[in-house]
Amino acid sequence: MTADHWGFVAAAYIVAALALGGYWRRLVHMEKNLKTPTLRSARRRSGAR
Amino acid sequence: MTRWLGIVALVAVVAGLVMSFGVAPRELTQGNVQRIMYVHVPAVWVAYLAFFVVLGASVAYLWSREPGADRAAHAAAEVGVVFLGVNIATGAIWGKPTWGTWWTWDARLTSVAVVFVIFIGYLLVRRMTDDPERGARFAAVVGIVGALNVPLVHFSVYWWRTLHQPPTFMKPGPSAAPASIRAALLVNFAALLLLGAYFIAKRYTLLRAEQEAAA
Repeated sequence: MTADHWGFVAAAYIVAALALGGYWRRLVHMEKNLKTPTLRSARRRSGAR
Repeated sequence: MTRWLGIVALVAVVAGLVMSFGVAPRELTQGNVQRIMYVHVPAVWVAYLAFFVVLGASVAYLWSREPGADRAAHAAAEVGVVFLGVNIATGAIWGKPTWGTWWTWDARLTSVAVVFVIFIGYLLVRRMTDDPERGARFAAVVGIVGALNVPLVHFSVYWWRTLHQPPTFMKPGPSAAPASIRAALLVNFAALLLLGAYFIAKRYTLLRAEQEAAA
């Protein structure tokens, strides 16, 4: 009977979850940054230098 | 709309996990380690599709100079890189117990690594110039070259002697795999496709918002 190598199966699914979850978190973070105006962007909008 | 796509994708991913671990049988030759296939194979299919979106959008951008086409290409390239990264990483993890090595420079693995590097270059080339329009134009050319390499990856297992097995599913004629394995693969493909579409839609919206904020 072939060995099952469950450790490798778990590792593959964990790596996939980390990569896809990490990318999703990055998108959420970018969205949050865009919604929170920075001092620089506020200055740009008001025309101040 | 994008939010609902995300929710549907999440439900589909859970369904895919149920199919991978609850419905699909233990494979006779490889044992349970073959279950890595349900994430490894759909990930590369989604990456291929994303790169074909890059191809179409890049050609459209070079033709029309429409910023929306460039945004679509940029978003699809980024998501394609993520899914191809998942494919390469899970392939290496699957390779160790089945081939006895994490990596080998055979035609399939090398060609897929080349496409990965080209699309990383695609993302980098945008930042190499101060003029965003110029960066978009350079990136479009790199994107077209990268996407044209995808058929080379797929057919590499036919054209050269490789350690990687030939395709079980994306080939002419019926598949030799049992129906339960095909069903699990299909559900996981649908799940990752929905997830990829959600990521592209969200990234596209963010790119548009970034450009509007910068204007």
